[in-house]
Amino acid sequence: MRKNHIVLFFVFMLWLVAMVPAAEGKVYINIDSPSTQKFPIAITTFKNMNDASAQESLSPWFADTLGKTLEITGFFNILDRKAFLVDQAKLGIATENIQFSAWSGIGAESLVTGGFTVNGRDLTLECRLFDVVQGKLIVGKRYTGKLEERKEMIVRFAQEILIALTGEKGLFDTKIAFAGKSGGSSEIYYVNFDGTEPVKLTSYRSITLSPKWSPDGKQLSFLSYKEGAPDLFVMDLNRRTARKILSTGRLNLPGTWSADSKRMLVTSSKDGSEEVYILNVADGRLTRLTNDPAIDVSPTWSPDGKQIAFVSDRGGTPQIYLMDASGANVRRLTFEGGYNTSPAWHPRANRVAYEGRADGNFQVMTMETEGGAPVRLTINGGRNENPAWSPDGRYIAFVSRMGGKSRVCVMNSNGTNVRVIHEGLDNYVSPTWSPHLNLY
Amino acid sequence: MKRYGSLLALLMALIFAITLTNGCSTPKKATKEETTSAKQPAGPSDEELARQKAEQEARDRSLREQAIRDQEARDRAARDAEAARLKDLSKIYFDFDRAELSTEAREILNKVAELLKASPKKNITIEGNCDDRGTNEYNLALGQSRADSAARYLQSLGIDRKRIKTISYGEERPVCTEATEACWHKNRNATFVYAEKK
Repeated sequence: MRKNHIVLFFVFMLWLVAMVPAAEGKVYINIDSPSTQKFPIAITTFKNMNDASAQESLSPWFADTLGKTLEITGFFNILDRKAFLVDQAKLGIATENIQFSAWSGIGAESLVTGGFTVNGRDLTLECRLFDVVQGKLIVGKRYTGKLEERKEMIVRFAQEILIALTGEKGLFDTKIAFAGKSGGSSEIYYVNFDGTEPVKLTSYRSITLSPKWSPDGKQLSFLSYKEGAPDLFVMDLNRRTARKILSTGRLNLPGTWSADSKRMLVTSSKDGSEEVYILNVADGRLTRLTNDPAIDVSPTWSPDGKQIAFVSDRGGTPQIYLMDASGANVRRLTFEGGYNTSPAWHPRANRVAYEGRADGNFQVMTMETEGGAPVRLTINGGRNENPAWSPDGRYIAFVSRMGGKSRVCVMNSNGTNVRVIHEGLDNYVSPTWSPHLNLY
Repeated sequence: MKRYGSLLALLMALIFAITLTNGCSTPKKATKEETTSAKQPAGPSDEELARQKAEQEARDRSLREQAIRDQEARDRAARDAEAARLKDLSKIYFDFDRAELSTEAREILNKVAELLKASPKKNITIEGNCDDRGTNEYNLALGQSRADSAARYLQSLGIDRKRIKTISYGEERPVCTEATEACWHKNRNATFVYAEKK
């Protein structure tokens, strides 16, 4: 990944055509608002600037690919090209050529125009984003590289659009790992944020579960029975090799990593009942945090590392509890539904996503860590489990089971825009979202 | 199970009786032939003696073989009875989200303890399992709790902890996959696997 990044860095000499900072404080799309309307954006076919007729099919390809890329975010309404009133590719793609009224007239708030020049295998791509209402350029970029790098160029400009309109670059350089079960065994896989490029990371033909991504993006911890007992392993994602980090002859389960990727919360039953420990990854040293004969499991650190949410059945049923990072000050967070598990701490807020029972099924919920009413996010008739936040907290990956089928899905953090990112295996569990991997 | 046992015994008795009847008919025939040959004045010829000797040897062989077959059948029956007994002592069941032992589970564990006391070379692995409702991580912990409940009870009955191994498979090794209470019940178990110490 690192190598790829460096190659991209050199190949893509990136020139600034124009950079008008999004007007002070102007937020085009407030995606954290629960009632966000999809933002209407028009994307014209790209102008074939040296008229190489052999490359004619690229004109719609660029527009379609950018449209699909933006659509995945769930924030945009990509306007149908059939409704366009003018052919901006013919009129010209720079600011002085844009007929803003023709675009505001069809309800667009933003417009993207593009142009490309192909010379042999070399490609130069120009992209511009306009504010249709104010009639001005928001951001423009020119990319040069090889023809086969055109998808990366489009993803890069999609990131520019997201930065300009939402203040953040989006999640195009993130992946989602999960355990997939088939034929009695389970393996770890990952896919891109949009579900493309699935990769099978393990082939142990055993039970392998609960992947957790390290914050540096380089490692994945998981549990595997590949040597007979439930032991913990850490995989180096560049080398694709795994080493055993905890083996006690009893149950061991990985929790989340510390921000510096050096320690990990784990559950182990090595001293009797299931307790939460901090594991020092380098030397395997364990520090015990909980002390209760009940089950204590699934620990997750708050983003500042000062608190831990975990599951305990010390009250008779499995519920979400909070404690200080030292293990002191244990308090119960959830009370409704009789079965609340799988806590995931929001990366930027005092909020926990978890699965709880509602209408006789498991559903993804959130709750503020100061307490309060649970907010139910999933509303389909199936079972929805194992929530995992995206690094910006704007999306949740989860497992949905409906009609006998299991799928890994992603939704916006308000429960809308549910889309499937992997299906086809017998069953899925425990998705985990990578940090930004700086792939683009 | 008991009914099958007595049926099996009846069947084996029947087979044994038939074999015995067959076994007896051969010497009878031989005796008759001997009587016939005794009527001849010159006594048995060498050929006749050789024939009789061969017959006797064949009879001996058949008897030996019979004896071996009987022993094998007895061994097999003993093995089957042992397997049936172990099968009766192979699982206990739990309520949803619980690791406490029911009265039935304790009764079975009492017999498991007797078995382990009677065969000191036997070790036991207790595998904790769960139905697939709820979170798989929590269920892995719950499976461990179930296996530990059974292990603690066996220990309280005097079984050395060193002879007991526990492992949780959570919801990862279901016996069935239907979303019915009957299937969930089957999957909420601790399974006992016995092994002879070498």
